[in-house]
Amino acid sequence: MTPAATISIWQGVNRVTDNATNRTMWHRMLHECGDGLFLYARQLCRNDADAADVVQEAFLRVWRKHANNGVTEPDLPALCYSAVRYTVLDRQRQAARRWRREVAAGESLYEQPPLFESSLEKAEEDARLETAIRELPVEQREVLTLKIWGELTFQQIATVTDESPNTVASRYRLALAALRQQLAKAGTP
Amino acid sequence: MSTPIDTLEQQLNALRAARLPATARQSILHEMQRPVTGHGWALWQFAQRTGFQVALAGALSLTLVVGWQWLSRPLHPVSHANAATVVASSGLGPSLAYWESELAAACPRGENTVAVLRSPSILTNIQIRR
Repeated sequence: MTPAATISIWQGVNRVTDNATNRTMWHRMLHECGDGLFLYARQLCRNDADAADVVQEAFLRVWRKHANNGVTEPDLPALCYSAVRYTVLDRQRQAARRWRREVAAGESLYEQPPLFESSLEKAEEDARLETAIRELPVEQREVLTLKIWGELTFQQIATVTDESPNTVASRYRLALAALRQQLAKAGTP
Repeated sequence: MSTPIDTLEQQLNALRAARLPATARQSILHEMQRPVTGHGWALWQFAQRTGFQVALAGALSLTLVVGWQWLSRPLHPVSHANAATVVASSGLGPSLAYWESELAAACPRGENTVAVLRSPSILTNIQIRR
């Protein structure tokens, strides 16, 4: 076998390996962050069907843009959360009036399914926590979601939300304080 | 020693977000599998490359410049140019020769007439005389 043929075969094997590694990375990303992205989208959409569509559109948008440009795995979650946010904003801009009407109607008619999976023994405690989270202002809830379930740093959250890291950190502290207050009011230590 | 805030954070961390619906997950996976094998995907990926985009922009700019120069060239030859050269270079030579022979056949007036006919500028006068 000539050296050129060997190199060609080696390059081909490398390419196949790279593609497989790349695909594994994106699959792992979907597996690990899919639920967090859905939770985030649900808070911005307030409708599960729309939220699922948004996650699908946003994830594929990021994948198409970055599948072959050497993006590293640690950067992916922030990119995906950011894409979810922009996808929701895009949709809102496209159908602002319709969206407002749907949200107004949805809040009164649509019984929202639980945001979290809950075990039987902790069901009551989890329900109280979820109610308290739902009552937070949108900005605080957004930061809390990105920090706790998105596992992003304040710097990354600041990039996603177009705010300064200080503002983001402050909103997070306020969210925790408000949660504590609500839980205390509800009788949870 | 953990503060109440730490405890709350631990409680929150213990909560697991509801799962992304399986249909959405499957759609994403399906979409990620599908275009990799298609020609459209390969073309799309190629079109996304910076080198290709720069080359395309360069080719378009060049076309624009050449096209502009071609469009803004003088439509009539300048007065001091050699008419015969202009005629020859513009591809009218064979056409004139054809009409010359046609006229000579239709109006056999002798060698002088044919000689006069050789001058394209007086074709109209010849026709008027006829």
